[in-house]
Amino acid sequence: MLCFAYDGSINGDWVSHYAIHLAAHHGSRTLRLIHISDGTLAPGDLRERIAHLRERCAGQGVVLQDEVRPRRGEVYTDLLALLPPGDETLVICGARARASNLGFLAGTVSERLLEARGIRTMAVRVMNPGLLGVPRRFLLPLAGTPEGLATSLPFLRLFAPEIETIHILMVKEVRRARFRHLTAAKGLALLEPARAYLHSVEQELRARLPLPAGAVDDTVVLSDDAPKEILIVANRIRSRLILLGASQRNLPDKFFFGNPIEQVLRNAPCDVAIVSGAA
Amino acid sequence: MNANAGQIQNVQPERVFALLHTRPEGLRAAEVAARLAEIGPNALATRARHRWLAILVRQCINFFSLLLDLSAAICFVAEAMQPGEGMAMLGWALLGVSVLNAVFGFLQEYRAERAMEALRRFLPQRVTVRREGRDQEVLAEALVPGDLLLLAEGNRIPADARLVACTEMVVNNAPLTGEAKPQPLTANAVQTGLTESLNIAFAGCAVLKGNGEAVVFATGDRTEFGTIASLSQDIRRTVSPLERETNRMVRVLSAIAVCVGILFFAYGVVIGNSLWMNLVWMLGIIVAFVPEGLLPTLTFSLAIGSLRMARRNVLVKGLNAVEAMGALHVICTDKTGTLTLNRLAVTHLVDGLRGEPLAGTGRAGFLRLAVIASEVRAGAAGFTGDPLDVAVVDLYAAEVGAPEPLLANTRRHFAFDVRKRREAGLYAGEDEIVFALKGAWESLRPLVAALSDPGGGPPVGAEPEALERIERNVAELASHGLRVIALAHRPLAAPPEPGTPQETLEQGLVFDGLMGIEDPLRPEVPAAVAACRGADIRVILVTGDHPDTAEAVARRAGILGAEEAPGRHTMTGRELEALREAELIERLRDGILVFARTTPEQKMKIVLALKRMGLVVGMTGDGVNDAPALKAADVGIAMGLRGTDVAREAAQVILLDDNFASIVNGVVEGRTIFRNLRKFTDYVLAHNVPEIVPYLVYLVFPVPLAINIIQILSIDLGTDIVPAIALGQEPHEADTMRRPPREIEARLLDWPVVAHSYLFLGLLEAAYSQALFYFVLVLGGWSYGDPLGPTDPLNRSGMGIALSSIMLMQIGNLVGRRSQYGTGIDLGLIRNRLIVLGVALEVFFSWAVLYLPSAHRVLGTGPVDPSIYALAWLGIPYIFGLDYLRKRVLLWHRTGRVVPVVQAAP
Repeated sequence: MLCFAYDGSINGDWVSHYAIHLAAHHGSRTLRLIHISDGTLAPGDLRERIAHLRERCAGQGVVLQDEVRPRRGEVYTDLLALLPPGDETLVICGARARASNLGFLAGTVSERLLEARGIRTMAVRVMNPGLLGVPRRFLLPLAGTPEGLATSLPFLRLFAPEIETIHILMVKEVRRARFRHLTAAKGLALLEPARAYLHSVEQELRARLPLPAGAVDDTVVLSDDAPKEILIVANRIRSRLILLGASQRNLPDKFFFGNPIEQVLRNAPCDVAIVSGAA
Repeated sequence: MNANAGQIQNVQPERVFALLHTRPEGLRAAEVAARLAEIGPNALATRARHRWLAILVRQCINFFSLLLDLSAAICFVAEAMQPGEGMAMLGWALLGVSVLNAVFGFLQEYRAERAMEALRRFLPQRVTVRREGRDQEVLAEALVPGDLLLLAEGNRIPADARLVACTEMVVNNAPLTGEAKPQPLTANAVQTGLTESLNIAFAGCAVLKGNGEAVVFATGDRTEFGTIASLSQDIRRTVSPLERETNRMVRVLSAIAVCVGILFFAYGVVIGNSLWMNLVWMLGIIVAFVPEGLLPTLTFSLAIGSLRMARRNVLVKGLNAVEAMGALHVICTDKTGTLTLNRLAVTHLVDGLRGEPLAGTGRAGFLRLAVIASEVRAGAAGFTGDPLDVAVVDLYAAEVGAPEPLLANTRRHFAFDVRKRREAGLYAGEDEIVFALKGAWESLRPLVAALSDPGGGPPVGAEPEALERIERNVAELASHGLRVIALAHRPLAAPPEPGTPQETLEQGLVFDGLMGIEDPLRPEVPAAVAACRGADIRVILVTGDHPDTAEAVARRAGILGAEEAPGRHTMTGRELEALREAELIERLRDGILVFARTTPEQKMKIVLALKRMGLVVGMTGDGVNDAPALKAADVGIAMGLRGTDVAREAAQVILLDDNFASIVNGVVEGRTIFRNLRKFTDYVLAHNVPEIVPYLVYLVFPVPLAINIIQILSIDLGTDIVPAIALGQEPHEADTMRRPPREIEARLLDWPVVAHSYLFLGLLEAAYSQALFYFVLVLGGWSYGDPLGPTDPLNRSGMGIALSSIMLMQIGNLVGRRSQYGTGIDLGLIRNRLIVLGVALEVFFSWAVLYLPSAHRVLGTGPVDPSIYALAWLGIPYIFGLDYLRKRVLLWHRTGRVVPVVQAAP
């Protein structure tokens, strides 16, 4: 089941393009829209927006099931109660359109969904609304952890029919002081294990997704600043979506400005999707 | 592809409103307010407001500045301990240098922020939108996604917007794409990527002609323009090799100084000296070891080097780029204007079928049609417009007659379409009505129905064999480096309806022939490319031109040798796009030297692949979207004449004349500077040993101190500064461009330099100055173990001769440092006037410290007998001679024979 946590904003409408597009590739071809109404949006406006979404869903052969519930407690807990349990449930939600003092995710419902165990969540920051949820060119930064690709795969499968290129990136991070004085030879030696790892990931990706020939490429970079390298590579390959896996281990307490995920969200030249797994 | 799924450019105009949550009459006021509150204003975001403060602080606490501050602090401590000896003045001088260094670094880094200002100038202040059914002018910042934007001729586009209606709209996308050709837009759906779409009006670009209505879908940082702006700020300049080297050198020297200082402080404590005495020793040792003058000298030398480069049309924005130019392994260069003169001339008019030159009436008729298909404006200084169109009209004027009547009766013009790669004109005179079309042969070929007869006969059918022959003639012309333009026309019986689309007119065309257009190579380019080859610098041509044209120009320039097989070293942008980075690296290793039909975005891919190969890369660029690649390159080189402000801000080096040969001049200067830096480092370090040895001896033996802190500083920051700068200004040697680029790991301070300066020259100088010091003491009646205070006249005389002899021996060192294996005199002493000045200063001060009363007061020195001063003069041939002997032995040892020494370039 594909669920879309909709807040009724223009940013929510942008994120809905992703939700509808992924639903069109989901086996059920059904999108379950969940809106917890806290009164900030006039009922008439909400109805108009949902009708509009239903029309767009119909255009793509997707059935929209909307579930609008009044807020009882916290939006997050109300929302959580409405999500079907199980690994098959995928949730799509949005990051803030503009950074607050905390950043793009910190303090949002999306952050808590990403942190929640047992839910596969994708929180999207839409940088280019003109893509209408069809990014086609992907950047997949990996941290080298075992769950990296596993977290992203359920969503990548739904994107797969439209993927033109997918670029896997691994940033081998070293401390700034060391990086400034690292010789070229030592740098190359540090990258070798990462290359081997990426090669195996690439094989796995090809095996699991129906990707066109030549669609997968990879890069290993040595840097003292991983988020910045992600941004540079995203621009270089003209990526339209950075699909960043957030590990369950380091998610809590990390959604602040110094956090790499927040840095990518803040400065990305394209859309960013943060995904977390169901572990 | 699902007809309902796709990006905004892929959908039909009538669906755009629904997808962007708006309507044809525009947004309501409440919707605008809500979206503005949610998305923010349509403005490029700036980085943190106090970022400049962070940059300044970082510059103030870098190792360079801290070291200078420490030296200044030592001076102030010394002043407190020995008042009235001018230490405070030196302290202030050091602080001044430290501040200057910090300010200079700050300005360099802060400049990146200014690139943002340059970008902002591309955006308009006010725009016209339709809201609630009314057309109204609003601030561009108040624009929100979903607004219906009304665009007209002359407008700058404030945000990314999808066209839903347009009438003959032509835009200039140069600020975004670097492509100067006007781009006609359409409101229809297209099946291309977003950035290549012809139905999107992009922020920062300008409407040249026509008008249209477009729905805004991205504002501020979300626009394509905004992402470039954001990235230009984000990309960090990599640490230059020189920065890394000087940082390392200062760190190593300071670590040695501090360690030795602490060691002797501890030793002093153990043997029971007073704390203050130990402190003086420690400070003395640190001051003696740290080459305080090295950094200001280095900065000054680089500054002078940058001035010298500016005289050769290479404007260097950051001092480190001066040396980085010399480290280049690869230069990726543009073609138009850099390798060529950017002056188009029509040199061939050819019957496309037979490949023969057109002549007589056939030639005049051809030119007439070519003028109809061109768009120029007449001005006081002649015709202006696209250089190709101007070249065509000029040729018509020269060979046929005044083009004005033709131009006046050309009723419609269809601007050059980058995607279709053709342009056209519709002539409706009294004599005839004709539609003429010119463009790339590949784009005309499907439209050609017949071939004209240059002899004046009726057109013949376009049989496949005939088209193949034309194809071969096109390739033949392109292989000579010519840009090939095909020409075709269609006679019309009556003027078409106004607004008839170009596609309707482009049917049943009669092919007329081919034009060969040449952009002559700059005359100095082949020699410059040959110089690069000789210096093991790889030159790579990156151009948007056809592969044949690019390859031909590369051959004429010498980038490709005559023996290289065609196509073997050339890659197109399409191939490049499809390659993985590892594959690209492999192809580059195989020897790809020409990238044709590339886009500015692909430059970044080339730069990064080359950098991954461990090469130092220079990249030229002129457009806004070149900015990220210019920043990513080790040396970004912007064009001064035709470059945009954004490219110039992003680059480290600006070519004032856009000429490739100037890059090579810069490389020569850069290489010379690195070599000179090694020379003066060697020179400066040598005097540290005679400065430190007296402290070690004083600590271990019951003898007077031969040199005090102020005397050390008088050499470090006084007499040695000008000679060191003089070595920094040595002219380039004749073999500068015959050597390979220096290794990326090459050290400014390596073991041979340390061994030579410290263990050879330094020890020689220490031995001689100490010998003279004790000689004066013994002559004056001192015997081993006698206590002698620093103010004792005998000690002052001893100190004077020790100091004077170090200064004189540095003359021998100075001359010897000029050449690796030669005498240094053979390069011509007066050729570098700063050397003469340096020698004069050393001589003057060596005399002054002994015989000038004011110098006695400041330095604590005293006079000696002139015969002893004469002995100090023997220090010059002593150092020079032994060093030259070392060079000859070294040379003999390395080559087994005596070889001619390197000469300075004429």
